[in-house]
Amino acid sequence: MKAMTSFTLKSLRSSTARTVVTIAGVALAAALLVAVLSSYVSATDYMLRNEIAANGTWMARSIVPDDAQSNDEIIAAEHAGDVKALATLQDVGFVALPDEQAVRLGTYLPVLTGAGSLENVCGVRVGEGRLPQSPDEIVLPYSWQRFSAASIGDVITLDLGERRAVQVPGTSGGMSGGTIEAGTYDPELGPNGIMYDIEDGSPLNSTMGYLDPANDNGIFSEELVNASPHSYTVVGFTAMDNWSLMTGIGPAALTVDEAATGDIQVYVDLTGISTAGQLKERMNGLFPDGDTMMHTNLLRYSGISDHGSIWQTLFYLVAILAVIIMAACISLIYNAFAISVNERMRQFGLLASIGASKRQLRRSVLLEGSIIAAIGIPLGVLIGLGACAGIFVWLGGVIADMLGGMHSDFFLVVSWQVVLFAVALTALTVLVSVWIPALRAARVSPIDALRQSSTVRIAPRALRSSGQHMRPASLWKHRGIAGRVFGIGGSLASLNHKRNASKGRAASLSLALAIVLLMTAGSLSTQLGTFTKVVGHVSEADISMAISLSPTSDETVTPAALEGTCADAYEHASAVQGVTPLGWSLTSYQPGLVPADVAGSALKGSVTDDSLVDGAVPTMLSVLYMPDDEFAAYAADNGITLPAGTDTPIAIGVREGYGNTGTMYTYDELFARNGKLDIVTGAKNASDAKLSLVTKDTTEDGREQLSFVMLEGDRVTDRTVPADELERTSIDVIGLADQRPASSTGTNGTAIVMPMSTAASVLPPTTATRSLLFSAAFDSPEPAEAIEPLKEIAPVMEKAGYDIYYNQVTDNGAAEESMRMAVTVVNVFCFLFSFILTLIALANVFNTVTNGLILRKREFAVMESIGMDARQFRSMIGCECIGYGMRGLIPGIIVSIIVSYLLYLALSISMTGLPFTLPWVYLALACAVVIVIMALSVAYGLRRCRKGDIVEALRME
Amino acid sequence: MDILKVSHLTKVYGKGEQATRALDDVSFTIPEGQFVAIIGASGSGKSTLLHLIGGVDRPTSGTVELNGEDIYRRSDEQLAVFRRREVGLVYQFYNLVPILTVAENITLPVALDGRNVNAERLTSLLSTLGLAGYGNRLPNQLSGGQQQRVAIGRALMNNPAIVLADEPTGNLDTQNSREIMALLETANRETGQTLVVITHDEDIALSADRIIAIEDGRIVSDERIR
Ligand SMILES: Nc1ncnc2c1ncn2[C@@H]1O[C@H](COP(=O)(O)OP(=O)(O)O)[C@@H](O)[C@H]1O
Ligand SMILES: [Mg+2]
Repeated sequence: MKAMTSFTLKSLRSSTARTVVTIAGVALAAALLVAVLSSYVSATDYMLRNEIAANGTWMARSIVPDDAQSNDEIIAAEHAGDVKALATLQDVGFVALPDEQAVRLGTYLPVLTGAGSLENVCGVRVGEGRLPQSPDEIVLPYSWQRFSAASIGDVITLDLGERRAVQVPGTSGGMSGGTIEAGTYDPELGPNGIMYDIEDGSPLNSTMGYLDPANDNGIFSEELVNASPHSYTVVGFTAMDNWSLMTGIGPAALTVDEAATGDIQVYVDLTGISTAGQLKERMNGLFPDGDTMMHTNLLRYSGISDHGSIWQTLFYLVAILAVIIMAACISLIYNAFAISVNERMRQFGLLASIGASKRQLRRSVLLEGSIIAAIGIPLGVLIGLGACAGIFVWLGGVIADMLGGMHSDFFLVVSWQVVLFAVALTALTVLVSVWIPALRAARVSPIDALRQSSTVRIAPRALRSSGQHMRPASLWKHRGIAGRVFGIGGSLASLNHKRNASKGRAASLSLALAIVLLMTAGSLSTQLGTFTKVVGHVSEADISMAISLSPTSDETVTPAALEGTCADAYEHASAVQGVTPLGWSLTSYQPGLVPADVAGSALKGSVTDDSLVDGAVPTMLSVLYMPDDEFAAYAADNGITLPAGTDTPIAIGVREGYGNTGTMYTYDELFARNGKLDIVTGAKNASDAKLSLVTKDTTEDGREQLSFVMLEGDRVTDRTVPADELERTSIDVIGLADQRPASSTGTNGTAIVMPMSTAASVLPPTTATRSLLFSAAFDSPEPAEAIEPLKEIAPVMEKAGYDIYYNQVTDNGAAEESMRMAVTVVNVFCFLFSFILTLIALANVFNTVTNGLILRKREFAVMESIGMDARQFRSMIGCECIGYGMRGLIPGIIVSIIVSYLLYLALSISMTGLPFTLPWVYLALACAVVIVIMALSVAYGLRRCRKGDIVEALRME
Repeated sequence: MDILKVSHLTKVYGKGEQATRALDDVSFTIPEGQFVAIIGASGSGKSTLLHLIGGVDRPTSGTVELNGEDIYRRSDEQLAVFRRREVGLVYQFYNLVPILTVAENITLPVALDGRNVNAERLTSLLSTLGLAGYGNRLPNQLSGGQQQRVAIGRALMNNPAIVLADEPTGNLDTQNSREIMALLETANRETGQTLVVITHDEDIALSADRIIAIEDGRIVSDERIR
């Protein structure tokens, strides 16, 4: 045994270069694995810290009524062994704010009273001042600091009342209301949230949004009753974004320990919870009658619940990358070992002949692997962690921005489990890489090894046929296409493929792998590129302005009046110091019918086939009207030629839409091609209504009909209109644009762009109920300073006779900058990853191809010494290369397409409508690079073969 | 008539300090049909000489003339043609192409020459070599003696003017050695092929027509014994 060990060590030392390369390969594997896994862990840990900093450590919240039983339950929970911490919030009452404050601060101000460790459990923080310590102290929402006269130390009196549901006159029945956390549906647990049954006079707590019949076609509105004055000293203002203080009707004010009678929200942090189901069960145990809601983000980041699309995407990405890293490193290490074992076959034969057992031989190779792993793995782990730490110090801020956090620093989190896992994966990589060569070393027959100076193993099939009778006449005939085209060189190549056991498999495999690795890198950047385009969609303009317009009279509803008002407002805005106007548009939402062949996949996919109306998809359209000259410029930008004059109004369709549903990003193809579509401008007998399309069904007599929600006068009704009674205007979509015009603030939903001059034919003359959106874009060197003056544009429009419900001016600059950095991070990541993968892939091809040739040096020399000339030799090598190439490239291309599809699937989890695009360019590039590298390797290998010329090769043993 | 004329043949391997003068101004002639044994200590330059005669290597200076033509005036391409038509080479380590069958190995020079295989010639050669029925075997299915016979078959297949063998029996037992030498000698006697054999075996050397002894790259004795 000792002899074998020293033999192994000697052989490691004797081929220093290869030993170093192999150790480097192992270190690379360990470094990449530990880096990828640690990045993932660091990201989740960052999110968890960020979530705790923002919203506290609570795992679940239960809402219970304020009664004796609930109070007993709360006390019992406080003392329960597995309850780490607990805090409560209770509604004290609601203040109706005067109109001028309501615009900015909300209709009601909810006042909550807290108890328990609010700071830890709910993450309640003040931005300024301190938290309240007694019932007569209050902390006001952060927005008050800006928009009200209140300041710390003031004593304010608030008229606190209770919210009650009020049935809309003329309607009857109850309804369900409440809050559901978007995107948190769990097949096992159902939606995460609470539902209430509402009747006339039901008390409403702060978790419920405003009841507004106009907004949610509800049958209830609400009122404030029993208001009575309370006095408080203002001791602080809350910091932004706290979940528990962001109620259903807006940010709340907070006091402590005040007597109150509203529903109690109990926030609980528990120990010993490992699944969401367990948590739900435990909460039901603690509060049998309570409505439980879970802190989904916290559960997700602490690994308790696993749904949550972007994290799933990240997880699968990490998994795919880890598998690819392992595959790449296995091939790298395997090749190094296989070559080393091959070269030492004679030594192994010698050892076997002097009595080394199979086990000893195998162990010798495995020992070699272990020594290499023992050096390479720790080295790799250190390098991987070091590199991560460095990159995170450098780019941590941007990564934090990208992950959407702001409460915590991003740094490397080293978890021993992860390091251990990475080490185990690398060890597995090494083991797999070493095992096959080890088996081969053990199988060596001493006589063979000593006698056969050649390392070629013959394919079993070739041996089997060797007993057959030899027919001299057919010798050297029919040697495949290669033989026919390339003569003797081709024949030899095809015989080599037929009879050589390895068939250059190592070379083919490394070529295939190279294609896969290069393509993975390519797909990664292509797919992530689209992903960042959608996720990071920011308007190109520095400032976006969006103002809702509701005409208040028949005069102001006409297109001419609208255009005049918009142009006027735009002119006013353009006069603001330092801004450069980029254009404006007016958006109306109108029901439309888009023929199925014109509609893009996402639009078509939004309805089933039997919901089509006359073969068209019923949908709400955003119709963007632009001033005619801007429209012409927009068309020109998108390479669309406007027809000279047409009867039908023309429009440009917007091909793609991006959106974000809260947990999913959407990427929708909305238009597939040009064509005519219809805008529904009204229905017979109902043209005087604001139409909003709902669904389509069929009447009893078989006619197709469409349901509209209509606001007729003050009343909301569901109205169904047979399709043939619709009033439609045909619109000719003459071209498709990739993006909406710069002035548009929206990104999702089906949109068409039309010149303002055609608005008259499409915008039905209706009464005051129509709501439109004026949007404009501006550039400015100092966007922040232009915001306030631009907000003063809305009042100008108001004076012109429009109601304004919404006036928003956004500074895109900051968002854009951070988004650009995020894209940079993604690109840097892709580049580094691709770079490493490419190196591995190319090193592999080079290794296998050159070694394949060098090992056959003697064979080549023999052929030359018996008269093979250079041309014959070239055609033989050329044919062999084409063979390896084909056998490598084709499977490589297939596998790489599969891998890029898997990557696409991983991204699809968090983004719908993402088209699967095969990165053809990368595929072609990958093939080209691989072919070039193969050619270089062959050239190098042959040069090595020739270096000592034939004589030397023949001399060598 | 002299088939081979070697004049002032010198071969230096390497440069400067490390230069080895493997052959140093060697001159001799061999008449057609002669069987020459070359003897000498290991490293004395025997193989170098054989390779130079066989057109496998190029000399540092001096000429090798076969049938009056200086072979090293040929281009590389022409030299390759020369090797496959005019010379038959046999090595100590058989040096067969492992992926080719016995028949294919033997006929490789013909195939390289782009000619059709003469089936009769192949069949008679195989039976002469005692390899009848082994035509479809691969080299690794043969014994050492058999492999060396294949190598001889390959050397003889094209009826070369001169057969060069570098320690052809060095790896074989006595029985096999005798058979191999018998094959080479038969070819020499019956077809009048000139035969040059490097050997350490005294018996073999003594069965030759002439013995050339080499030491440090120089001919130290050249004796006709028959
Ligand atoms: N390709 C080569 N490169 C360097 N030295 C060589 C080469 N071939 C032979 N030699 C040297 O030339 C000398 C003669 O070698 P060789 O002809 O093989 O001798 P022999 O066959 O008599 O044993 C030796 O010293 C050997 O080391
Ligand atoms: Mg020698």
